[in-house]
Amino acid sequence: MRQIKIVVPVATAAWNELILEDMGRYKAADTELAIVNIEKGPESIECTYDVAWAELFTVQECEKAEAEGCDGVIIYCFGDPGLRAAKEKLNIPIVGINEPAVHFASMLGNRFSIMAVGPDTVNRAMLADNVLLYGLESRCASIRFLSMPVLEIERQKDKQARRLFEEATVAVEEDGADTIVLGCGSMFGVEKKVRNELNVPVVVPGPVALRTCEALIDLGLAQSKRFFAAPPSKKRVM
Amino acid sequence: MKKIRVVVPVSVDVWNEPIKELYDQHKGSDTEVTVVNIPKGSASVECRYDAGWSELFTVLEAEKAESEGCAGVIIYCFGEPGLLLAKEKLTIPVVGISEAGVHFASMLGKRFSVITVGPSPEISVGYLEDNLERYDLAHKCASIRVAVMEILDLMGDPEHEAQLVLAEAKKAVEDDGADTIVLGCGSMLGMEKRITNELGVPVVVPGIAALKVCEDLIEMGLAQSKRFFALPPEKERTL
Repeated sequence: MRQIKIVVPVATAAWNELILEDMGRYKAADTELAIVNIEKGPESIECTYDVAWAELFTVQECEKAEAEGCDGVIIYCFGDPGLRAAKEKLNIPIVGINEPAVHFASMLGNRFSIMAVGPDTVNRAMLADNVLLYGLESRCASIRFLSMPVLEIERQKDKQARRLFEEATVAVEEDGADTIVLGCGSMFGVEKKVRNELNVPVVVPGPVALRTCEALIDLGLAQSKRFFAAPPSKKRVM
Repeated sequence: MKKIRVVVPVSVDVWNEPIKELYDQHKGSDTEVTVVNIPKGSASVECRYDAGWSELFTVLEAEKAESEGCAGVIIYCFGEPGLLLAKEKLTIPVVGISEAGVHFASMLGKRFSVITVGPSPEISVGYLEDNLERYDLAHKCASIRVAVMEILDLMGDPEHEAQLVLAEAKKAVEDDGADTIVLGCGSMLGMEKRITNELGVPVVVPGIAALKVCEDLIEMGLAQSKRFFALPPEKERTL
């Protein structure tokens, strides 16, 4: 039995049930999932500033998961807030949903495009920084934006699917993408039309993160402590 | 039930059984694994020239797997002969063990080293470097180190071979700055625990990483992009 804790790095429980339901479809039979959002921080993550607000609370939830005996943790946001800090502090495997998704996409084609939710002007730096950090900038054809607030996409599902298809079409036809990555963990069940009509694989980041986390647990692997060394002990006040 | 065919791109069958055993240990409960080697080609794949000898026969085996109803194919050699060709020809997911192994390693640290076995560093390094360049992960590679031996000797004196591999892994971590190790040959079975225990770094076994990736792709209904790996045109091809 593997115990995996999903940490949703936003200060709202609005997504927990949807995420758990979606991940439940992809988990192995002997995986037990628990989900928690952070108690303080931003209500959604759409920019680098939001990431800063979410990070500390996210890492603390991750620490709690390890202390409770979980085998792995997933930070469920495409901005991967707190991921590097948590990799330092924890010994159990931590995965973000962005990092595995872009690696998977790189195995499927030559160039992927990321379909982000928030507006271009706000969202771009956060996502471009992550692609750079993971060393896959050369494989990224473009980052495109639905230009909808994250908190509205579930309420306006038709518009979400339509905007996704529009932007994915431009990514494929003009930017040269052969693979599409959904750039937000909260885009549920909207990828079919892109897959079928544009003839490209669509990587949905949540399930990929879940299966990567399961694989790491099975293989007895986790982040390298030579690179993500444990932080020194000291007083840290909040 | 997911049916996965493992194609071992060498013309000997000595590895089939150990690979089958390894995969049966790590596969999901609803995965069925069959292992075949190629009928002709090179006895081991240690350089680009060997890969050339094995490629065509490897792709033909992969095609056979698809026509027999398999849901995914793994090309089980770190040199990945025929991988790109098979991705073109097949519509089911085709996974190479190097590609999956180095992407996994990239998620675990900053810089990985590949430890492989072969007749000489000169013969192995360039060949494997070509693959890393293709995956755009060369900049994450601290070094490719070669334990000098014949691949087929891995069957013979495991303790002696393990010492050679361990010595190269130690140099990779201490001298080259690697924080993660990737075993650079699918035949280095069972060496990962010793390296992790002695050096304290994660060791990625590429064959197992490939199995997990292949299962994941099948489960998620994904395969190589047909916009990049477009189907080859029909024509006469003779052999």
